[in-house]
Amino acid sequence: MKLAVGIGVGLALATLLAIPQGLPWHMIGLGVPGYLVVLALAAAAITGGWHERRSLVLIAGFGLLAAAVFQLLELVIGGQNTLGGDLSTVSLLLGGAIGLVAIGSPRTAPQTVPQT
Amino acid sequence: MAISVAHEVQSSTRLSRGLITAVRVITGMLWVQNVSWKSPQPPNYGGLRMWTQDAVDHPVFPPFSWLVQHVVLPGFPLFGALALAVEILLGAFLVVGLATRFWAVVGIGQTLVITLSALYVPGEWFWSYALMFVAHFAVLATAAGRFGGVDAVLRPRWAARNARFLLLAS
Repeated sequence: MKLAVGIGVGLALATLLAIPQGLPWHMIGLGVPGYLVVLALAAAAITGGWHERRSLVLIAGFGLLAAAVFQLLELVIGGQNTLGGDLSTVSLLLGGAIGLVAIGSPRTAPQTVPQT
Repeated sequence: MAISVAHEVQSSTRLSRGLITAVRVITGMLWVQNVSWKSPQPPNYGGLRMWTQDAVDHPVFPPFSWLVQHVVLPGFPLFGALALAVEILLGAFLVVGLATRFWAVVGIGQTLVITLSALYVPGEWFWSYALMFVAHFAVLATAAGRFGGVDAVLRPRWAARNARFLLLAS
């Protein structure tokens, strides 16, 4: 669960990469609604990870997944861009979603990791 | 070799593990930013077709140029979408460190495609492409998802299920 905190903090910090204009520091696109969505879900991931609340980590993960799909659909359809993002936003949101859902999903009995 | 390098890093200092994590995340961010100027709308995908055309206009490896000219460009709505999907997923998986060795290999393949398309375009810097390879080799050799990545959390679960492909991919 500690990693959920790391992913949440990473997502929150990644929003800073949307602020500068022009290369190389403008790495992702985000509008004000996009900031709010990402920061809210990052806060959920941090809180869930900090308090070992698996359900909250999963909510943050699926929320990010929904946001990534929504952003992609709007880009494909064209016209409105509610989150103010681009494909880099899709990639980043998807990464956060995959990570949080993976570590938030119920686990089987832990064992020692073999060296493969 | 990748296994022994990963083992060495596992028993190394916090600084070394932090640096391996940073290499993985920054390599992932390379792909995240790399899709920012592209568009998911066919037929040109926001300039992707122009860069693909460079493989024909500035050939690096003639058989690859032939393949691009006669297979990729005629079917660009499909190949362009595939390239975008691969690059979006590369960024997503490398940043969080899930199935990292598998995605490092995919990244090496995509870097090869980009190199064969753009290396001889005037103004391009050879070392940009060499360093892209180096970054992915480092991620692969150190199994970088095991340090601050999702692989580190999930490998015990995969071991319990004897999920050999996932263990190999991570």
